[in-house]
Amino acid sequence: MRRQSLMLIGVVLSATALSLVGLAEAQQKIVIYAAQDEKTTNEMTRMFTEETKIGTEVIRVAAAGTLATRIRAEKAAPRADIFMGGSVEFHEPLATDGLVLPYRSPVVEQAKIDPAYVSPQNYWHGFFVNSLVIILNPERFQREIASVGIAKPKTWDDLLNPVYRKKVIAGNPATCGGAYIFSALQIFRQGGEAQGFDWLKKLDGQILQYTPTCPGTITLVTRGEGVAGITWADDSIEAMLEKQPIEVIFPPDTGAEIGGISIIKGGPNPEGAKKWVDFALGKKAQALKTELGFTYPVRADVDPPKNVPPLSAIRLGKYDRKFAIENRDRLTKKWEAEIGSKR
Amino acid sequence: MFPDSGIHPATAVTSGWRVRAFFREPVTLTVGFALGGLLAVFVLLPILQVITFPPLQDYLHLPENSRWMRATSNTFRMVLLSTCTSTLVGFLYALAMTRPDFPARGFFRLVAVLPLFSPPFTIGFSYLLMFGRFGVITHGLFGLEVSILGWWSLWVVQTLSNFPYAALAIERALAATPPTLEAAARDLGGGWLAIFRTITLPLARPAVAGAALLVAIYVLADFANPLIIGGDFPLLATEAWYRIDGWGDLRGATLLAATLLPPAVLLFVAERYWVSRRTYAVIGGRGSSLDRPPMPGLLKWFLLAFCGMIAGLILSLYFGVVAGAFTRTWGVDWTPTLAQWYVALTKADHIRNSLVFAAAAGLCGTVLATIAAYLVDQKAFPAWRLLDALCVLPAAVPGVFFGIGYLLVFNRPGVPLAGTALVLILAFTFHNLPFSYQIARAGLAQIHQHMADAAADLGAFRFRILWDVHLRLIFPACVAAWTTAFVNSVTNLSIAVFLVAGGNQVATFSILGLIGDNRLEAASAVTTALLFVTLGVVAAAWRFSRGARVIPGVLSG
Repeated sequence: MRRQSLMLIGVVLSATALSLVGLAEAQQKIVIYAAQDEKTTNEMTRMFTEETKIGTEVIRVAAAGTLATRIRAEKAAPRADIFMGGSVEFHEPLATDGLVLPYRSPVVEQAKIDPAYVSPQNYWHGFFVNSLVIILNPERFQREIASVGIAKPKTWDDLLNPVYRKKVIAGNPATCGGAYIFSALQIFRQGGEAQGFDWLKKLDGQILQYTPTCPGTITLVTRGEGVAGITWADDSIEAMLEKQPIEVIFPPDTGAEIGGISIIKGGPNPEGAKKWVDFALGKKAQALKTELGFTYPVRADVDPPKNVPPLSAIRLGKYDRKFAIENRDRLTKKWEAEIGSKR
Repeated sequence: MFPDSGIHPATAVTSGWRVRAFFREPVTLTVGFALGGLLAVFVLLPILQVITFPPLQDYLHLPENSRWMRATSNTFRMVLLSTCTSTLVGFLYALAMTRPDFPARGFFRLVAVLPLFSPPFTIGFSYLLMFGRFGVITHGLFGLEVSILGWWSLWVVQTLSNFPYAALAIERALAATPPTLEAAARDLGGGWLAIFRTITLPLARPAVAGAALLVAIYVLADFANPLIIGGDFPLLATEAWYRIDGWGDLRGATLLAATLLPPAVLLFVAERYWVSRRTYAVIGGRGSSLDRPPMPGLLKWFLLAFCGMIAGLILSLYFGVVAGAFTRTWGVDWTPTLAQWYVALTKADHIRNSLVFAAAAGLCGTVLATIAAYLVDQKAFPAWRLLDALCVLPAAVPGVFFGIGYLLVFNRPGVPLAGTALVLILAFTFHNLPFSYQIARAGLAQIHQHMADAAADLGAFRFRILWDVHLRLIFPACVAAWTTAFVNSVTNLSIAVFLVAGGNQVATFSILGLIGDNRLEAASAVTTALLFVTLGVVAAAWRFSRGARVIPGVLSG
């Protein structure tokens, strides 16, 4: 028994030690912080590694604010090479604070990508476009809203109808990019910051819960915890195609995001990071992102996603992206002080 | 235990003798100081850092933040409610388990132990699927529509997750009640109620109080369940996480975590010194020559119905998670598929990380705990009381607090440990040290001093005695200690969530990410994989240690 136990301990110890050594092994790789969905991220990284033989290590959280916060916290010794996903409203402030390595990918000229999708100071590259939508739980809507004669919501203002009280789910602007863009959008729609916040306070009375991630809204609405929700089109369409009980409505004055990629200054592998940016703007990756992610590509030579209305049909509301970028910190803190902390 | 007969170098009579005696064993002294140093750096330092990080005026201004005050009152409300119900359920369950005429005890015991092996949000997550507004059971079977968000479903989930701790602690006490006492009471004409009132309940009272305090500490520190189904219900542990996750606000986070510490320490001290008899005994079989008197039929049926309901609830929740791993779209498209396992496979690295880190943490923890327990048991180190206190201190510290402390001290940029696997392993090691330590001490306490004396007479120095004499005898306890630390580390979320970086992601963090991405089926697959591997490792360890049954997570006794 003694010999057996000693042997077994030896085996366990060596296995543990070998695994730890295996983990510590250095390999040409890049570290990506991705605010993107699981499937697309997995496929993109797989394709990238196949093409370039560079490995990837991904922290994937469906919340751009969370990742931006993490990057800020690590600024003395950055651990990541790439920040991907989340609208450029989150990338630009990092750049203004000196946390981003400027880079202009040669693919931009090759593919003649629209200059609106590239940062003029080369801080970020846009690699997809996505819009905000209203989602409904069909069964609860039918039973609780349609039955009292109210039609399906067409615009954001329809959600202020008292019948939706405590039945709407939205994201938390501190963590979730869509929620921030939505909040900023109201400022432009109502014609001023004070008016925008008044509108948001009215909406707050309707909200059942602010979820930390944008897809979290979909989880709650499809499970019937809320009747309506405010979230991104891509995740919603994907849920709809998976036959989850959800209906997607594109309001006429909606907001949109330009999903960005930026290279983090001081990261472990800046050369690998540049290769990633080139890859993500390449035709294959764009087609993959469009097909799996249900977002609009930035390249003109890639087909738009199926099952989604064409980009030309989306009517975007007035939105001053520069203002939204410059005031992100201040507006988010204001939201927390006036709305978030009162709940 | 028999009284110590001979003069033993470390338990000498006069203090002068003792001090000189310590210096005769420089190796022991060095080991003791090294251990003390490790504990100071990896236990005390993070705790102190968290407490001292927010400036004093932050503490004074805490009452002005209404959301944080609500978080505080909510936390205490949940502690009160969940502790009461968990202890009650645990007591009834334990009562049933100790009656020999109760059917299928093995099955009920197995079901009760299940929550201890799974990731902490398994029950909460499955609750969402099974009992939500359109949940399979509440809506599909009963046609009800009950919102799951909010504190009362958290109450149910916390009760179901924590009652096993209470049930196991109380069962041990009830099983220790001699049946002869009950038989004597019956002879004197007492009915079942009289026996219960005058014998069973008073003897079980310390164990019940101890179990309640233990459960209270777990509810206080509960992080994973409120995260999944707490809705907008602010609690101290989750608010601390949101401050860091959403704002990078370390000051706010440490403030909230520091608020958790005084009640946790209070509960812990109460449990350890006021209630606990500190009977360090590894559970073995306890036979008795007399059988317990049979229960009255009404009570038996009531207990059967009650335990059946609880077991049914737990099994249905586990069914929810496992079934979710094999269906296409939960609750909607029941086509069986293995597609979710494709995603689970991409997380294989993270599952491997969880297992390896937990195994390493278990190993380090067991080694440190055994050495520390030996030094304290033999009183071979001058500051053994301090060593004892430091080894048990992490049990009073909620996981969130520990996680933030390690984030502050070791995960800062510039510190070489930052972001590595090592920092997670160390956090797990020291967070679970109390459990391993208690188990090792229980094992050592059962070994008579004469054997060590005999070895010392033959010329062995102290650590040779540990290796040759004690270790052989307490080996099953060491395996049990390793298993406890392993399970607790694999299923931990509250520490992992603060310390993961690119290179050391663990499975529980990935599952959280999948749930946040609305990929509940894939999350189920990874949870199921983790659960089965954990159960497999525990079963193997149990076989290996030849049946020394110590259930993970129980603090004393």
